[in-house]
Amino acid sequence: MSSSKSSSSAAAGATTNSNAPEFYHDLHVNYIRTLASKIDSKSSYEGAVTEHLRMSGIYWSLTALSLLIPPNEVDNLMKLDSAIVEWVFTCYDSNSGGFSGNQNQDGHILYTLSALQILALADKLSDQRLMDFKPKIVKFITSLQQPDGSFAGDEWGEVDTRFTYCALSSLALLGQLHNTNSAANDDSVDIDKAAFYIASCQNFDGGFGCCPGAESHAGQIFTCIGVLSIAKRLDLIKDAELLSWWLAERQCDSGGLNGRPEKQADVCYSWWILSTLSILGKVEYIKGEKLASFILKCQDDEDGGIADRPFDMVDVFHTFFGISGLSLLGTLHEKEGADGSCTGVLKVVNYEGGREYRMIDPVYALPTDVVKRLGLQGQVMKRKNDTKTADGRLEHYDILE
Amino acid sequence: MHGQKRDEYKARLKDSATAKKLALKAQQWNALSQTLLKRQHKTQEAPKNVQADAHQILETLHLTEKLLAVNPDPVYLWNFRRELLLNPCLPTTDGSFLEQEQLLTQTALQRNPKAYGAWFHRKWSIRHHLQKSTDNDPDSKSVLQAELGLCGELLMLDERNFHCWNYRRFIVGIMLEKLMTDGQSAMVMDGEWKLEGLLEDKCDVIGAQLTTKSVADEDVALANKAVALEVYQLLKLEWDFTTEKIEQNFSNGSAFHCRSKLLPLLLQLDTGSGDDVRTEYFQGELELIRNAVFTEPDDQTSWWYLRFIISWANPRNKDDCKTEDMELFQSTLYEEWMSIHELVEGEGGKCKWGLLGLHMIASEMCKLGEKGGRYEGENWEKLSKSYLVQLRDLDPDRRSRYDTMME
Repeated sequence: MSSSKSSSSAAAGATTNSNAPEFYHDLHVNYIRTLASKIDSKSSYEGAVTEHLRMSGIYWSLTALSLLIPPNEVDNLMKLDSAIVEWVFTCYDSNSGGFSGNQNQDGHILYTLSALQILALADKLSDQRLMDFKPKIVKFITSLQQPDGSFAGDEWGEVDTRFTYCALSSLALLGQLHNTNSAANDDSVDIDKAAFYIASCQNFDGGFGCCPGAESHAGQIFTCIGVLSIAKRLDLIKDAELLSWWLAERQCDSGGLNGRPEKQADVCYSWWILSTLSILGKVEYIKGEKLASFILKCQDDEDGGIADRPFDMVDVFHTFFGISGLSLLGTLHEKEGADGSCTGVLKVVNYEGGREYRMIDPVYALPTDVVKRLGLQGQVMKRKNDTKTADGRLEHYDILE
Repeated sequence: MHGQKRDEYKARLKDSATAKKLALKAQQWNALSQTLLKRQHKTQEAPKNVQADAHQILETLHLTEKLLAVNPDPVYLWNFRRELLLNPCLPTTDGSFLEQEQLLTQTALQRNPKAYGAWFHRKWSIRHHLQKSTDNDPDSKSVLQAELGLCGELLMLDERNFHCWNYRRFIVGIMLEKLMTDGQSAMVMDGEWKLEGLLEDKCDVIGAQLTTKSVADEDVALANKAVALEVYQLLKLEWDFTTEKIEQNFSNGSAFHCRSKLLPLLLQLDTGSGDDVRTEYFQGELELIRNAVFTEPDDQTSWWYLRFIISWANPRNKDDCKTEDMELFQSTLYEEWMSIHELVEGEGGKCKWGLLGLHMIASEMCKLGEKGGRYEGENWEKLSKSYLVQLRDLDPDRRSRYDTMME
């Protein structure tokens, strides 16, 4: 429950609250590195009940790791280029044309996106196997679009705005997003119709739900704004200021963010809300330092990983979103001080553009360098110049005038 | 491990008895999955015109049931189950498998009330059953009513479960479709609230939650004003349900959301047409909000709804906006301002949401007023700024936004 007392704010200039722990970089790397062997063990109950979403689990692990260590180290630790990529292709479901969450399961748009995201990370989007499957994958995706512009998740017909996001993002990764005719057919989707459908999911509070009429929820808002960004139709947002305000009010006294009014703060919203605010150009509406402190307090200081809230058990899902949140806040990217001290966490190799470490892209949820390498397009709203997001992360996107 | 305490969880894992139990469960799961996989391959290999073994189908169904009752999340398991249920060789007494699917999904939802797969399967099962039954089948009515009852029960356990609210809207969508088409055409039953022909003004309506492979006959005339009353009554029942929920707990944002969708529909369908009805609803909603905010001033839920209601009630949004309408609106706003002012004073000025409410009204007064907005002698522009100054102090986390607003 939110309370009326206003807590003392962090000292001006301080990066985080003084009682927030440091970022346990090495512990998290180790947590992710050792996760696979635990999960894949035949005696792992957790592994058994999550095996259907393994594709997404691997995407979360790899992307989180990619924000912490350079690409060649990611490959060394995880055998990305070899073992993982091979495994991804064994999850291709030729019946449906999409990728499944694990071997011998049904193709679904959720796991199709995760698979393509993994291949993007591994720089294997031009793998011959993908080229061979590509027409069928595209057909799978386009076949999921409904007359009203929405997308189903698979042939059985569940509709959810998450699936629209997965569809458009997948097509973008395949380079097929703008190969469209005016009418949707087997080779294309009607992007405008998809955007109009998303727009019809807007609610009285400025937010978006999982289908027209559904309640506003920060997770669904991310998928909807993500769609509008990819489709370059942010103009369809009825009241971006109201939405930004509503998202800002997700910040609780603890500094953490919740997904809806009067719900508990959860680390995963650090991603969904910050990425949305990045696109809307209003990241400063959130008190960044307090959020960073909250995320840091959700770490496991023994075994690494990040949980949904302090002192809860960690999982890779919240680890990914916690690290991504810190990245979006800029917390991970503080510079080294003149005396060699590091107020931030990362001292990693140089990348193009003089950046010292990889950032996460708020639209496609992949490292920025991957998004730029692939030439992925999108749209963002104008933002104040003095914010931390003026770090080149969004420079390749169109700006809504 | 969403929502599980770390120390407890780790302790459990370290405990050898628990670890053994979990390992056994994992092995059982894996064994069942493997068996199912073999069955699935067999099914796919067998050509469709070969009589499948009815006994096999039942056995395999039972396997999926065992798995889904433990873990309702894997979509592929529900998919496989649906394939089996649609198999023409499935032995059933009356061609219906609704009851058993209701039982299974209910078991699954008791275990995990937020399992997407279970909710979707329930929608699919209901629709499959209803599409096969005849239009005037009394069974359909009771089936749908029972589903509303289930929603009521589940919302008592978790009033914010959006899956459940969505499901409720799905069922209401089917009920509306039945009313609107009078059972004349093949119903789509995708949960969409199809109210074209009944509404003069376009409203946000509820969307489809599942698709149908077959294209529905879109040219079926849905306009049937004779059923307007029945539609109104059905939606009024939903309206009353949201009232009940809000009165149980003012913090129920899900109920307020539902209400925000129902309000414009009810306004058009309410037989007492004209300005009186609009004013009645406006006053009614303001009173509801007033009760909420005076009880829990720091709960933001109803304050969002207040913002919506004021925007909704603004006569400028109407086609035929008359001067009297504007005057009434402005005086109502002023009354509301006085009420919230009293609330904020009562909290010693330390009521963030009250101040935001005051600022919203002050801003609106500025827009409504002529020559600098001096309605009732107040300088609304000055007031508006002063609220922002207070908010900056009271809510420093969001200072950036208040600064932007002051520009």
